[in-house]
Parts: sequence; structure tokens; C-alpha cells
Amino acid sequence: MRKIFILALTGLFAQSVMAQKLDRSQKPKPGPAPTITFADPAIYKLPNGITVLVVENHKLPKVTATYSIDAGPITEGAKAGVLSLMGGMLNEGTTKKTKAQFDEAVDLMGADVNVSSSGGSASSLTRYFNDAFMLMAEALRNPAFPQASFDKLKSQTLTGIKSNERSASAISGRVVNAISYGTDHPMGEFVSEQSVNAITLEDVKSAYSKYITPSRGYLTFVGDITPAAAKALATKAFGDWKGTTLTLPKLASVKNPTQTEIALIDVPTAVQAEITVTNLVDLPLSSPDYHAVLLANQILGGGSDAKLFTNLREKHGFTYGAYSSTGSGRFQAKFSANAAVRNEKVDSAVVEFLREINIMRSEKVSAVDLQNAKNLYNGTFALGLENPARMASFALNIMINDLPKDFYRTYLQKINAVTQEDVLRVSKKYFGHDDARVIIVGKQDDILPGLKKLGYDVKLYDKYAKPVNEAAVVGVPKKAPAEVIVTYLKAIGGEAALSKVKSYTANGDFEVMGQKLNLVVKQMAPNMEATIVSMGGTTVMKDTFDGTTGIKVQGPASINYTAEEVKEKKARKGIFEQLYYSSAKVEDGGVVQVNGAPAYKLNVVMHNGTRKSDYYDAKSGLLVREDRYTKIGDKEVLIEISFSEYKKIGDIMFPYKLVQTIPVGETTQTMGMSLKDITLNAPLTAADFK
Amino acid sequence: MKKNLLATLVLSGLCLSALAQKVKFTEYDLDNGLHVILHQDKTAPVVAVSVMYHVGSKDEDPKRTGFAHFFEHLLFEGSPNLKRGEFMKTVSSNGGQNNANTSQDRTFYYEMFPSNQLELGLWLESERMLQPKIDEAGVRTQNEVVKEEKRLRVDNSPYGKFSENIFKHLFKGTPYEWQIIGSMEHLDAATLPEFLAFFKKYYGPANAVLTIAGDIDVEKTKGLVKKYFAEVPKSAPVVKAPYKLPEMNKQIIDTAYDANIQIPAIFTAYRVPGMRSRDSKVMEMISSVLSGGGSSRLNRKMVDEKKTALQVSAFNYGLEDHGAYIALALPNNNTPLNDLLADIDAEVLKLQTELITDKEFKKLQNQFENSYVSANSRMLGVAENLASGYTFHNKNTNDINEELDVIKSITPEEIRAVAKKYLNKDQRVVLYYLPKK
Repeated sequence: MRKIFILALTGLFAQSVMAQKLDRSQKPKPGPAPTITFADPAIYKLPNGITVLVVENHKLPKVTATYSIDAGPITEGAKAGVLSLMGGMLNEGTTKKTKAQFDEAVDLMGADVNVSSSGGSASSLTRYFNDAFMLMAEALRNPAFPQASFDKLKSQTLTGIKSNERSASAISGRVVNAISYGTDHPMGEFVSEQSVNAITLEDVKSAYSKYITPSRGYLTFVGDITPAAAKALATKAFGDWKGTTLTLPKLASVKNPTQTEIALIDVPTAVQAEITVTNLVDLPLSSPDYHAVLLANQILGGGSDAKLFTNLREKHGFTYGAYSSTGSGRFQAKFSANAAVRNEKVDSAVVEFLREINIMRSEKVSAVDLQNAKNLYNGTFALGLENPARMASFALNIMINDLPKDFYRTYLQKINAVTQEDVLRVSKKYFGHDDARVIIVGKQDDILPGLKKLGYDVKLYDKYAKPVNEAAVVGVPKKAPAEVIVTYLKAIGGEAALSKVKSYTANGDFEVMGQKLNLVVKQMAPNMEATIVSMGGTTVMKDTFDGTTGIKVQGPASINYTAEEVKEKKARKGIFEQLYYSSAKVEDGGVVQVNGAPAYKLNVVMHNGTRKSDYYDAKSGLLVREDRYTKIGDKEVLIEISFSEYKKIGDIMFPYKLVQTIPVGETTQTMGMSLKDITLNAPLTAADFK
Repeated sequence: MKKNLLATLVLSGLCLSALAQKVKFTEYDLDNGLHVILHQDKTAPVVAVSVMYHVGSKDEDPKRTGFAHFFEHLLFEGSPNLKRGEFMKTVSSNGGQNNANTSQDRTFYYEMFPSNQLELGLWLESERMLQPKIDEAGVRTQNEVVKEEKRLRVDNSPYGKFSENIFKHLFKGTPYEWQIIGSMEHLDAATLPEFLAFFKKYYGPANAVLTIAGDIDVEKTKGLVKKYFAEVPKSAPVVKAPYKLPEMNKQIIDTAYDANIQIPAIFTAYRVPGMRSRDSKVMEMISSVLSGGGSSRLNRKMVDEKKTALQVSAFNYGLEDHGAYIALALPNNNTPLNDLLADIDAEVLKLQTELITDKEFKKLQNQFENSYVSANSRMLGVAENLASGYTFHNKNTNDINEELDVIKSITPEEIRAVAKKYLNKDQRVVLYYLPKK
């Protein structure tokens, strides 16, 4: 009886569920906000000044310790890069262990130990943590500084700088800070080939003794460890450590420009321009504006729902993404909005950037936008708590920035209290529209005319943020293209001598990303050509044209020249193109600067249709750069070749150094070639070009 | 479940320290066949909601490659209750984060939310399973997005084409021979009915695992799961057609060119068993001996001592049915690629003929334990690992807790034997990967 009753009831229940079908059009409402609890870390100080913070969390049998030295922004000056090299050297062995022994000891425990110029970290399973921690201390306190390691790291640093030489985004990263803060400011200075070359091992050692110290040091333990055990370990590893006393540097305040100005950096090979709209802000975390600025930035450019993205990408399709960010802290920081934009849309994109910033400054944001931004911050805050290290960084931030103890406890409360009026007020105060800098890195020829129409002051800078002195060009007399060519031909030996050169071979080295390759170039009048690239004695690439057919060989693959390529090569009349410019269309491109010196620019359309621009040094008359337009696939790209180190061979001046930059995808590849021997009128035969 | 619990008890006597880290979970099936796994952890107020569909590129028609990855995108297009573009916006404006990824074997969708948004996560994932918008407009939009992704991730990405050039030889004649991103021509040629049929076949509850991990109340969550997923109609179980891996008895040598690189590379890849096998775990240990950490054999010999390589790496690319074991090196200075290959081969030979040292053996145990602990430190990782156990290890969700015990039971002798069994030159591909001018 009872059984049946239950069955009936179940049947009824099932029916009622069917009847009350879920209304899926209603988005579920959130449950009550989760209580966010976090325990304060245990904090104490070692006698030598190190502050120790411990966040005990036994969920996993693992401990992580981090040591950070709060030295503030450090001015490196002429030796920029010394701190990063010093940090690298701390990982190259200690006075007790070679690098190999040190690595072995770390790996044996399955641990991670890293040190840098601002501290270090050690992380491992609980049972190995003491040993892992002592290794970190050893690396910090007893580095060996071997000369061989220094040489290795220095050459790696130089290779890294070279590989980024033409990258618009790398250049932008450098010049935006350099122009905003000035190059003598620690935030504005940058590492260069010159500054790295100036660094010695002694510099590294003295930077070490100055900046790796217990002074202003914070040691954080997170994980499966008790405060007592952590304190004992900290005392054992660092208790008797002494070092220099650090004081936080005081930096002079840097002013924003009095009215908005554009800075343009010419990178002729750039396929996209990097645009940054920026101004400096003073926004300590303790500022009553802090939370409102976070939300204002989120609404303007915090992600793919924000105004900048919606406007520049979705509405206009200028770019793959446009974002903004606002720095904060004890020192002047940057508000900046940026995007990589197609060259032809740069001026329009600048207008849209400034328009969106202006709207933030003059109109209240919608209630919905503000609520969404708040929800995002609430969620991000909660999700961040999954990482126990977050508690330690909260405590550290409170100490370093001298914040009220409840700063993070009341963080969401303050976020949620921000009003539409607050957002308007802080946008006006922190997002510059009338006193901003618009810093653009891209192809000047394509961008400049459009920018000039915007009505802002446009200033030109080089890739190292040095103003381009337009006055240098002013005094240079105008010259007709024919005269420029005659001067050039004369400078490299004169027409008579040049016409005697019927062939040559050149042998040289070139380097790409630390990879050394050998290069042989042969040419024979009128139009035979061969280029052979080899690596360690093996030919890796060959490109030959024998006057009627051409072939490109790369490894086992080979491709014959297309009819178009044959036509182009066949039309060549001799080794020195300029001797035959009479049959080309040559236009005056004005006086421009190449590497800071005035040069005559000629725009040339060869009789076979190929397009290029030549740059002849105004003083020496020599060809210093050539921009060649060529097709890669169905896209026309610009290949830039710089010529330097002209030397005499027989009666002819030859450039011994060539640097070629080719666009590859969204970035560029640079190859430097140094020629070793050049033989004029070498005994070549048609067989050399097969 | 009961059996697993027993196993845990037996092991606990032997291995006390590991017991503390066992991942606890509850699992059950809905009437429509959806497998549900719940893991409670109240440490932080967060929840991961995830669905793993047992469909990847290997389930595709060879003339329609790229479908599984295409669906990774297509299933963000919305539903009758979510307009185009609203899926992600709903997540972010409610404080969450979300994404999806596709492999040869499965597709994984997830949301991370503050724990009070659990219901929203379930609503989103159930809309996706019950009634996703699959129409011409969505297909067209996502076709462009996928092409952009291919340009970014494959065409313009340095060394982005190595797996394509290895797998086409190593797994020739099987569904592992094509790439996850698939063929753009295939995608261009695909019709809407084909997409709808693919969805019907592979994205039903019987081919999916819903895993929820985090700050949840288990009983309440069960109720919510039922509320949102019970009405998804039952789907036919997916029977995967077995396929045979053709014999391979000769080394294959090939060359690939890449315009995005300036430094060449050498790759060598062997056929190994799939991830379900014990031997697959042994291969992972072998990778660690060769290239795990600065003191590993290849790193020390080629990067530190001889300085012939800028970088070396060896890893086990474990797939459901088979695997690839891949070693690679980038030359330093002018070192010819063949010299690098010879050095790698010498180390492989050593593994096949000599036992690893006691020190190396201990190092392996520690490295694996460390990475195991880290892999389960976040809720999203736990959710994915639980779902993978069920999906790939014969419905054994508890695989997450057994993995380390398997590792601990592998001896140096077994490592030598497995190296000998699989790392043969006759069953490998050597790929010269060169810069394209």
C-alpha cells in the first residue's frame, strides 16, 4: 500500500516538473556574493632588515618562497643593462657549486630555483623545501661570477638587441618610455648595443654588492609551512647576511606636453604602425581616485567589450585589437592606449583614439557599462584568491605602498561604490586629451602627410628617441637627379673605370640571430648573376640566372624562375645599374635624413618596371640606402638595404657592409653582411651561373 | 567508485604522504547519458564548469578536416537565448573567464566563475549542448576567424609547422595524419547540413563529461545539473571505428621550410603507444631524463658542455590511440644539424643499453611528484584531469589518483626496455626544419 502511494507521488512530481518547464530565456541570477575571507600572513622582521611574511596553506605538500628587494627604479645610465646581466650571472654557479652542480642539485629534488637582480624564488615539495631554499640563498649570497659566463650572457644580450633592431613593436616599447619620461630618467632609459658593450664584469660585481642586500628585502613564504619553521629557515639562510643600505630614490616629476603633440619614428619596413596615446599620471594606490580609475580604464580599453576595441576593431577594422592601461604606484606612471594599425589608416585611428578619450572626459558612462566593469572586477578578485600567493602579495603591497591595513578587505566595497560621476571626474583628470603624446612608429612616407592634416604639432624622432634635426636638411642645396647620379658614379670610380668592370665575385659572412653563414655573389655583364649561401661548408641556398633561365635551390627543393622574373633579370644591362639610368624614370625625392645625415632621395622606375628608391649621401655622394619594392606572393613589400664601409678595390669603391631588412609576416628580419674579398673581372664563365 | 575507494585504502598503508593529495570526487550519469563529475573544494570562492566532448580532429571525415576545431569556435555563436557575441560577454560581465581548446581526441569548453555564478555557468553550457545556433551566418563568421587563427598560430608562428610535417609521415593512412586546424579548402567546401550532422553525431550528452570543481554544495549542484541538463535529449552512444596503423619499417627523412625563422632545427620523431598505456608513462619519464631541467642529459651535453645547441627538447606527444615521441634541437654557432642528430641518437642508444643512474631515478620520482602536485593546484586543472581520466582511461575517473603510483612502480629496467622497444630508427621520421628565404 505504502509502496503504491510513493509511486503515485513520484508520478505526480514528475508531471509537475514537466508542466513547469524551465524558462531558458531567463538568465540565472547569481547566488548571494561569496564571503571572501583571507587570513593575514604572519609578519616579522629579521635583525638585518629583512621582512618575513608567511601565508600558511597546507592544501598541497608544496612551499614557495620569494625574496624581493624593493630598490625602486634604478638609473643605470651609460651602462644600461648591467642589472639584467647581473641577475643572469647569479644563475651561473656559486663559489661552492659550478652551474652544472647547482642545476643538478635543483633538478634532483624536482624543485625550481631562480634568482634575478631584484631577488629570487624557490619552490618545491615540502620535504625538499629546506634544501631548495638554501640553494636560493646560496645563489644570492655566494655567486661565482665566472668570466666565461659573463661573455656568454653579454653576447646573448647583444644578439637579442640585434634581432629586435627593426621590430616596430620593440622600437615602440623603447621610444614611448624614452619620449614620455626622457632618456635620463630610470623609466625612460634603455639598453642599447653601446651600453651593453660598455659593461664589464667589474660593473656587474659592483651592481651586485650595491643592490643584492638584506636592506628593503621582503621574504615571502606561501604553502605547507608553519610561521615558526619559516622564521627558523629564514634566520638560518639570511640571519647573518649583511649588505649596503638602500634608500628609495626620489625622482623629479616629469611634465606632460603643454598641448597634444605627435611624435613620429620612421621605420620604413614596418607593415603596421604602432600607435600609442599616452600621458604620465600620479596615481598612488592610496589615492581616493584609484578604484574609479581602474573602472574608467576598463570601460575605455580594458578588453574586447570596451570602447576602444569596439570602435577601432569592430566598427572600423583598423586593427586586430586596441586597448588601454593605467599605471599606478609610488612613482609617476603612464596612462596609455595603443594599437597596431595598417599604415594607411593611422591618421584615422589617431582621430578615433582621441575621440574615445574625449567622450570619457565629457560624457557620463552608461550605468550598464559601469555595472559590467564592476562585475568583472568582483569576479577577477574572487578568481585571484585561488592562488594562495595572492594573500602574500596583498600584504606586501600594503607594506610597500604604505596602505591602510584593510585596503584589500575593503577593495570590492570601494569598487562597488564608484559612481558614473566618479568615472567622469577621474577620466578628465587622468586621461589626457589636450596635453597627451601620440607616439607613432611606422613608415613615415605613408603616414606623415595624413598626420600633418590633423592639426597637431608633429615631431620626428629616430629609433632611439633622439629628435631628428630637420634643420640639418635645410641648408643642403637642391640637386637635379641627373647631377646626383653623376656625382655618385664619379665617387665610386668614374664612368670609364666602371664600364671596364665586366664581372666580379664577392665573398662574405652574414649573421642571422647568432647563426653564421657564408655568402658568395657573382655577377657578369650584362645580366648573369649567382648567389650562394652556405653554412658550415654545406650549400643551403642557391639562386642563379644565366641570362636566359634562372633557378632557386633551397635544400633538396628547387624552383625555376617565373616568366616575370626572367623578364626582369634579362632586362638588366650591366653590373652598375646607375650607368643605365638614362633608360629609367628617375624622379627627385627631395633631401631626407639617413642615419642622421642629409641624403638625396631618388624615386626610380627601371626600364623593366621594377620600382625602388635610392638615397645618396649629400656629402660623399655615395649610395647609402636602397628601398626595393618586390612581390612576395601577391603582396608588394619593401626590402631595405643599407650600404656602408666603402673601400677601394682597384679603381672602384665598393660597400663592404650591407644590411638587409625584409618583412616577414607581421614583423621584419634583418641580415647584416660583411664582405671579405672582392675580385674584379674574375675569370667567370657561363658555367658559374647554372 | 567502490573499487577505487578500496584501492585507495590498500595503498594508504604504503604511501601515507600521497594520500593527503588524493582528489576526491562524486560521479554519476543523467538519464540522457551525460556523465557528471563533481569535486568540492571550498578553499577559494571559485568554481570551474567544464564540458569535455569526446570528439577531436581524428573523428573527422578525411575530406572535411578541421571540423572539431571549427566547432570549438562555432559553439560560441549563441542559442535562441543568447544572441551572437553574447556568450563571452555574459561570462566577462559576470566576472568570469572562459575558453575552449581542441586536440586530436577531445574538445574542452570551460568557464571559471566566482562560486555564486555556478548556475550561470550551467545555463551557458547547457544552452550550448541543447540548442546551439548553427547557421550560415555563424559558419561564415567563424570561417574567417579560423583563417585568421591559422595565419597567426600556424603560418606566421615560428616552427609552427613541425607537427604537420611529422604527423603526415608518422601517422600516414590514419586520422592522426592531418592537423587539428584542418584544411581551409575543406572548411570552405563544407555545407551547413554537414555541420549539423557532425554536431548531432558527436556533441550529445552520451559523448560528453560535465565536470564541476570548486566551492560547491554537492547536493544542490546535483539538483542544478538536473535542472539545466535533464532536458537535453538522449543521444546515441558514439562508436568509434577502429583503424589500423600501417606498418613502418624504414626511416623517413623530410625537409620543411619556414619563413618565420632564422635558426634551423632538427626533429626526430618515433611512433609510441597511446596515452592509455603504461609504456606512454615510461616515455614521459624518458623525456625527463633527456631534457627535463638544466641537468638533464641532452641539456648538459649539448647546451652547456659542447655548446653545439641553443636549445634541446624531448617530449612525449601522447594521443588516445597512438603517440609520437619527439626530440628536437636548435644549433648554436655553425653546428651542422646532422651533428646534433648524432648527439641525440647517442643519448637514445645509451638509454637502450644502460640503466639510468640511481640519482637520475630519484630525480625522476621527484620531478613527477612535483608536477603532479602542481597540476592539481587549480580548480580548472582538477576539472580537466578528472574529465580526461573518464574520457581516455576506460571511464576510470580515478586515474588522476593512480597516475603517480604507476610512475612510482616503473623501474630503471623497464625504462631501458621501453626505450629499446620503441626508439628504433626504422620507425621514425627525421625532419630538417630550415629557414625559407
